[in-house]
Amino acid sequence: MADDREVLRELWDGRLPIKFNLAADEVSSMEHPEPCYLLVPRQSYFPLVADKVQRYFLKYTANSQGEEMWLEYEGQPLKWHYPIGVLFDLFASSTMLPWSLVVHFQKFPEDELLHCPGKDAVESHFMSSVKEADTLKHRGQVINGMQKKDHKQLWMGLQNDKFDQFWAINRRLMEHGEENCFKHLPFRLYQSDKPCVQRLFRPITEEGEQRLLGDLVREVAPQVFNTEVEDASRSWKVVIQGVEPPMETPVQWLSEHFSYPDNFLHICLVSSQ
Amino acid sequence: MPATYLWSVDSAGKVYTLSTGGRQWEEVKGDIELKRVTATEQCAWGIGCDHQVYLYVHSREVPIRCQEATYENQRWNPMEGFSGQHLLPTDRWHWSNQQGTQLQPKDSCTLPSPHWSWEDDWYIDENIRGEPTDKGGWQYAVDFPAQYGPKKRWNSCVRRRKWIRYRRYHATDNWALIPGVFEDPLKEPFIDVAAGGAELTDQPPGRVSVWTVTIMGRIFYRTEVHAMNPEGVSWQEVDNEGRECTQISLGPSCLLWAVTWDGEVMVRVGITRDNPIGTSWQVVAPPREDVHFLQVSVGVKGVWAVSRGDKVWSRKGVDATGGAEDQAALVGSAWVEMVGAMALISVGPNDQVWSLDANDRYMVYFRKGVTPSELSGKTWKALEISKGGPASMNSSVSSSMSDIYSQSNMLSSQMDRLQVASDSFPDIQPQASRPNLASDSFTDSTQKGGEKAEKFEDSQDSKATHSLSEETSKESKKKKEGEEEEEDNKERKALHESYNSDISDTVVDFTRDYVPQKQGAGSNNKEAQTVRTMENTPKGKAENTHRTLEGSPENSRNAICGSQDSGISKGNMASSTESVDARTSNGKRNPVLEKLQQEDESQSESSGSRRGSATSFTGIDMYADLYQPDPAWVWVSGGGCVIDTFTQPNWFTAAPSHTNGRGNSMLGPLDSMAIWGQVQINDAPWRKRVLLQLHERTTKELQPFQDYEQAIERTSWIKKGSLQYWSDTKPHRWVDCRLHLEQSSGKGLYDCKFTCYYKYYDSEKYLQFPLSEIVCVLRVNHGGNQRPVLAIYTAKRTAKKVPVRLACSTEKELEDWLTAISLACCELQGCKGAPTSRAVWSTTCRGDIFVYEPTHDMEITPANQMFWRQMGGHLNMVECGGGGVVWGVGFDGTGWVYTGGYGGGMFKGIASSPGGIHTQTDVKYIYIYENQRWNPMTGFSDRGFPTDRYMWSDITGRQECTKEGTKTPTTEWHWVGDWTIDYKPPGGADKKGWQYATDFPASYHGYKGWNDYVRRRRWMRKAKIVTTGPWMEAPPQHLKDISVQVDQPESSTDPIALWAIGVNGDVLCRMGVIQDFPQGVSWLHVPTDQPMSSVSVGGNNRVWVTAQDGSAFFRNGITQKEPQGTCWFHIPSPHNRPLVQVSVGESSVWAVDKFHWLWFRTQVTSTFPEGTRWDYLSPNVKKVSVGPQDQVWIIAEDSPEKGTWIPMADEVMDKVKEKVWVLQGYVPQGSRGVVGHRLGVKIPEIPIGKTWDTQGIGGGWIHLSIRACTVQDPPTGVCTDDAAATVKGVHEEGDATIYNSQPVC
Repeated sequence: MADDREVLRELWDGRLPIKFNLAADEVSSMEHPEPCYLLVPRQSYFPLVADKVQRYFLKYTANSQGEEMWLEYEGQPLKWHYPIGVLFDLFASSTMLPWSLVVHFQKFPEDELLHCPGKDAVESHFMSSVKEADTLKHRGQVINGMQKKDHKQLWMGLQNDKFDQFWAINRRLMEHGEENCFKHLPFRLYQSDKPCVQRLFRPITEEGEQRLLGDLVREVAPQVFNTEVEDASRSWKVVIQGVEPPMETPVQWLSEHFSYPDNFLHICLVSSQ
Repeated sequence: MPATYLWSVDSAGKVYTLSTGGRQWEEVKGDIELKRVTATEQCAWGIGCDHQVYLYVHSREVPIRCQEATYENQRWNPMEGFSGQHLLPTDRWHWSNQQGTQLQPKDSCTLPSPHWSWEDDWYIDENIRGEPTDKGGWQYAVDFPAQYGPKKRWNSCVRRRKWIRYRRYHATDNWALIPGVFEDPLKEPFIDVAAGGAELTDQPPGRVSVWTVTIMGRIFYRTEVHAMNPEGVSWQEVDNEGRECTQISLGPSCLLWAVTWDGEVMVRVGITRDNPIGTSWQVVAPPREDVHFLQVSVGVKGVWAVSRGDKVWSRKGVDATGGAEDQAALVGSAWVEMVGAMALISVGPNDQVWSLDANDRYMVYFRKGVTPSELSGKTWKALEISKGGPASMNSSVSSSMSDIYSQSNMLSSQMDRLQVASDSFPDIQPQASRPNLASDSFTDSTQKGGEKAEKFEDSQDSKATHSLSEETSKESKKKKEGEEEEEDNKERKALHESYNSDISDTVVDFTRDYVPQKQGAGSNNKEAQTVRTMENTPKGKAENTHRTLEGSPENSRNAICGSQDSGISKGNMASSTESVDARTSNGKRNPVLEKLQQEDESQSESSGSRRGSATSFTGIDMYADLYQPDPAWVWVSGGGCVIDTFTQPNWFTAAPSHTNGRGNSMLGPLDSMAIWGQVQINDAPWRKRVLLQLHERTTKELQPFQDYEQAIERTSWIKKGSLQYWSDTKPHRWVDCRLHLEQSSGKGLYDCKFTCYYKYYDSEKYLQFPLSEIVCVLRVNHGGNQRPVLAIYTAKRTAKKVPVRLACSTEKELEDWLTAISLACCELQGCKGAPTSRAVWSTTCRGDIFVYEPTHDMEITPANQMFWRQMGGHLNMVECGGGGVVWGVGFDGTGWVYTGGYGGGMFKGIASSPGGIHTQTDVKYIYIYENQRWNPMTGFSDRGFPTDRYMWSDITGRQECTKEGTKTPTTEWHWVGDWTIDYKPPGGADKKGWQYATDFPASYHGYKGWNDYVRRRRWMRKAKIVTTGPWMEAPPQHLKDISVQVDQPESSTDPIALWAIGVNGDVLCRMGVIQDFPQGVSWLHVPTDQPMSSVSVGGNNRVWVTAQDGSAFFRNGITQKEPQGTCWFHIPSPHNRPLVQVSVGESSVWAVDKFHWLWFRTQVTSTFPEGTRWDYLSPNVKKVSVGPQDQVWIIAEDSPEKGTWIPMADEVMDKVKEKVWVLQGYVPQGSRGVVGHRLGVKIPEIPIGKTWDTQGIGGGWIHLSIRACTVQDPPTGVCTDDAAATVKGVHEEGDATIYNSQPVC
C-alpha cells in the first residue's frame, strides 16, 4: 500500500521550469515575442497546461484558425500523451534549466505525433492507462469496482493539481491483496531512440522475495549492466521521476510510490555520453 | 492477538508446542515422557509414559500464589490482661478461622502438594478494612461474634488478629505429577485425559474441567481445578452407566464426548456452571452398524471422530453455545464421512481442526476453511513446520522414505539432503564451495578431533544412511513406541541384535536410526546391508568411548564419530552412494527416485538458494542441527490453540529463504515484536537515498524558479455531500442538509470553510465556520438516529457542549467524511506525522483515542481551544510518560505499546504512517435487557402494560433491543458467540439472573420481594473489534491500570519506570523499558497483601497505588538497583472514603475516591514522601492526571451522591471550611466525561492551584494522560488560535442549554 506520504507529496509537488519560445519562422508580428515562462507539474500532460501558452502566442502568429499547437525540443517533437516529467527525463535531463521548448502552430508532424483534439482526449488516454495498469496489478478488479465519480475525481485531481483529491481515490488502486504485492508491475521503459518496452514482470520471486529495481533493469534492459562493452562513453542512467533510485529499491515500493498518476512506472534509460 | 499453542507428542515421548506466531516446533522441557497431551489456553494435562496424569503450567511473570489466613483470638481477664489461654468454654478456639467455627492453628495449614512452597513465614496483617491498626494488628470487640474495631476501648473484652502466609505454586514449566485415584499408581493406570470447559457460561473465572479415563474404563472428574489451584483437589468418579470408556474429549464450553471400548460414542448431558460433571450419558447412534469409533474430539460446535479403518467423521448439528439445556443440540443430528484417512483428530476451542495422517505421521494437518458457517472446512493442509532445526529440513528425513510423496516441497527438501550428502565429499562430487568445507573438517577431525568436526562427521553419517542418530534413545522409549512401529521392530530385530550386544541403546541406537526409512522402504534389504556395513565399522572404537561417556548421549555420540578416522568416513561415504543406487535399482522406489533426480536437475537452480543456505551457515555444527532425530507424531492437541479465521498463522508455506526461515524460528513472540515496521522501510538506505535525491531535485528544478507563474493555478476544492443535521434549536430533530467541505492543500494553504446548508421551517439556512476553528471531529453514538453519527466541535461549541451532529447514510460515508475533515484540520493545525513525545493522550468510551499537542503554555490555553486529533486503535486507556513511552490498555485488559506511528483505523493509506501500524483487536460485551411484568394469571411473563417499556430493551428501556435486532457498534465489530444471560449483573440477581423491582423505572434488587411486580435480566454478548493502529501488543499479561514515570530520562539508555496493575490486582513492574525500547523485557511481580486497583509513578520513582479496599500505599526503597522497591507504606483513605485512583506528579499526590471526589495529599516532601493527610478539593471528578510540572488535569463526572459538594460529615466539613481555597472553585455538576484542568498551579507555593477550567472537550471522555507534558522545548507553530466561530444565518445563542443529557458517546 502506498503509505509513504513524504515521498508521494514530494513527487506530486515536482515542477519543471519551462521557457516556451515561439518558433522563429512562425512569427508573423513585427517583433519576436518574449518567451513565456511557466512552472509545470511533472505529473501532468502538456495539453493540460498549454492554455496559457497558446493564448500568449496566438496573437503573434498568423495561425490559420484551429491549427493545433505542438512542442518541440531540439528538433524532437514532444508526444503529448507522455507525462511531462517523462519527456524531460528522456530528452533533456542534462539540459540547463529552464527547459527551453519551441512552440509550433504549423507543420504538424503527422507521422510522429498524435493529434490531441482536446482535454477529453487526454482524459480518455489517462483513464485507459489507469485501467491498463490496474489490469496488470489487480486484474482490473479495483478500477472496475469504482464508481464513475471516483474516476472523475482521479482525473480532476490530476487536472487541478490536487494531491488529496487525487490520492483519496488513487490509494485504492495502490492497495495490494494477500500476497503483499501486485500481480504484475505496470511499467514502461523508454530510451530516446527506441520504442518503449513493456513486459509482464512480477514484483516478487517465486520464493516470495521482493524483486529489486536492479532485477527489473537486468531483465528488461540488460545493456545497462552489460559490462563487456567497457565503453565508458555509453554508461546508462536509470531515471524515474527525475531521480535515480538505487538498484536495490524494491520494485513494489517503486510502483506504489514512483508511478505517475496514470499508475505506470515510467522508467527512462538515459545514456550519459 | 496473543500467541496460543498447538501441542503435540512424538513417538519418543517428547512434547512440542507450536506457537501461532512462530514457525517452529519448540520442545517442551520436562523430566517425563508423555503419551498424550490435552491443552487448554492456560495449561496442559498429559498422560505420562507411566500412565499417570501430569500437569504442565507455564511459568508466568506473575506467580500463582494463595493466601492462607488464620485468626488468633484472645480474651481479657483482670489478671493477665489479654491472653489466649483463658478463653471461655463458649468462646472460639485460640486459633480459628474468621468465623471462629473451626480450630485452625498455624501448623495445621499444610501445603496441598509438593508442587507448592511457602513464600515466607506467618506474619500479622495489620490492615483492617483499609485502616492500619495498632502495632500487633489487634482488632478489638466487646465479645466474639461482634463488630471489631481497630481501637481498644474500655469495653473491649476480646481481641483477635489475622495471621497470613502465602504459598506459591513452583512446579511451573515442568510436568507435575497429579496423584492417582489409588495410592498405588499401578492399580488403575490412566489412559486418557481431557481438559477444557474454560468458557462454560458464567462459571467462576479461571475454572478448568479435567476428566480422565482409567484402564478399567472408569471416568473421573478432577475437582476444583482453577487458575489459582491448577492441580485441583481430588478425583471424583463419574458414573459411566456400565459403558467402559477408552477416550474422552472436552470442549471449551459444556460439550463432553467419550468413546467406549466397543466403539460407541456417548455425550454427557446436563453440564452447567453449577454442575460441571453433568447428569447422564446419552449414546450417539453410529452412522452405520459396522462403524466403530476409536477417537473423538470436540470444540463448541464442531465434533470430529475417527473410526476403525482411519475414517474421519464430522458431526452435524452440534451446538454447545446454548448451554446444556438443549440436549438435542449437544448430541447433534448426523454423521458425515469426510475425505481422507486420519489417525487422530483434534478440535480447537473455536472449532478449528488438526489431524495426523494415518499413513504419514510426520506431518500435522490442519483443516482449512473451517468457519462458523462451514464447520467441516474445505481441505487438509500440512503444516510446513520444522522441529528444532532451521527451515523445513529435518521433518522430511523420515518422510522421504515413506509412501507419501504428495508434498513437492518435501521432495525438494529431501533432494537438498541428498545433495548435501553428496556435496560433502569432495572426491565423489566435487562442487564449488562445499568440498573445502568438508575436507577442512576432515583434517580437523583427524588431527584434533575438535568437536565441531565431530559433529559434522556425525551428520555425514546420518546423511549417508538417511537416518537419524537418536540422541536420547533410552530403554523407556521402546515401551512408548506406537503400535504402528511394532512390526518394524520385529522385522529388524535380527539386525538390531547383530550389534546391539556391542553397543548399548543408551549410546547410539542405530536400529532406531534405521526405523524411519525402514518404515517406508519395506523390503529394502540392500539398503539395510549398507547400513550394517557402515555402522559396524566404527563399532569397536565406539564401544571404547561410550563407556566413558555414558549418561551423556550427545557427547558419546560425538566421541564415537570423533574416533573414526577419515578412512572410515570415506567408507561411509561410499556406502552412502551405494545406498542411493540401491534405492534406484529397487523397482518399487524407482519412479520416485527418477522424479527426484529429475527434480534435482531441474531444480538445481531454484533450489540453489536453499542449498546456498546450507553453505552460508558459518558454523559446521549447523549440520548437526539439520539432522536431529525426528520420531513420528503420536498425539496432537489443539485445545489451547485459537486460530483466528482472519489472521491465520504462517504455518502453511515453507520459509521463503534461509534468512527468513531462520530468522522467524529464532524469534520468540517477544523478539518479533521488537521489529518495528517503521524502521524497516523508513531506515532502508535506498529510501533515504531516494528521498535525498528528491530533495535535490526540488532544489535544482523548483527553488531557483519560484517566481515563475504556475501553469495550474491552485484553488481549493470542495467536497460535497448530503447528510442529516441535528437541529439544536427547535424542532430538535434530524433535518436533511448539504455539506460543503472546502479543502486546500500544500503551499498556499489558507483557511477553508466548512458549510452546512439545511432547511429551517422552509427557509434555507446555513451554518459556516472556518476549518481552523474545529477542535475535534469524532464519531458518536446514534443519539436516536439509526444511522452513524459524527460530531464536530468548535471552541465555542465545546464550551457549550453542543457539537454539530451529522448523520451519514452508511458507515463508509461516515469514515470518508470523518477522515476528510480530520485530515484537513490536521493540515491546518500543522499536526503532521506522529504526535510528539509531549502529547496529551486520551480515550473515549467508544474506545477511540485522541491526542492533543500541547503548546508551551498549555496551562494558559483555554481548554475548549485545544485541538484533539484522532489516532487509530481501540483502547480503554492510554498512559504516556517520560521518554515518550506510551502504553495503552484495551477493554479486554490487553496491554498495547505505542509504536511511534500515526494513523491506522479509519485513516487509511497515506493518512497513516508508513510503518508501525499493526492489527489491533479488542473485546467488549454488549448488554440488552429482558423485561417482564407479573400478572395474577401467568405470573411473570413478557406481557407488560401498554405503558411499559419494550420487553427487550436497553438499560433505559427507551430503545427496543431484541436479540436479533441488536447490531454490533460498527462494521469493524463482529459477534463472538451468542447471547447469554448475565448471572452477575451489578446489583445482584437471583439464580436465574433476574433482578426485581416494584415498577419499571425503579431500583432493582437481586431477590423477589412481596411487592415486586416487574423483573428484568441482563443478556450479554461478546463483540470483537478488528482494527489497526500504531500499537503493538505487549506480552500476554492482562492489565487494569498502568503508569509511566513522569520524569524525563536523562539519557536514552536510562531505565524508565513503568508499573501496572494486573486484572486480578497484582502489582507489576516492567523491566527493561528504555526510550528506544518502550515495550520492555519482562514483568516483575511485586508482592502485596491485597489486590490493588490503580498505580502511579511520580517524580523520583515515588510509586503510589490504591488498594481494592480503598486505602493507598506508598512503595518505599525504589532505587536503580532495586526497581521494585522494598516495602509498602500503608496510607489510610480519607475519612473512610475508598480511593479508586491515584496520580502522582513531580511532587504532588492526588487521588479520586469512589464517589468522584478529588483529594490532595498535603505536605509530601522528599524526606516525608508519604505526606500527612488528604485534603478535599472538589466533587465531580472521575479521573485525575498529574503532570511532570504538577499540572492537574481531570475528567469530570457527576458524583453519584446527591447534593454533591457539601455532603460531608460535620467534623470533616469543619476542617475543610478552614481552607478558603476550597471555595475558590469546584468542578460543576453536569460536566460528564469532560476534560478540565486546574488553573494557577504553582510549585511550591500553590500546589493545588486556584480555579478550574472545565470547558474542555467532552461528553464521553473516559481517560486522560498528561504525564508526558514537560515544558521543555516547545514545538513551534502548533497553536489553536482563539478566533470565535463565525456563525451566519442561524441563531446559535437560542436555547442551547448547559449540556445535561447523556454523554454523547
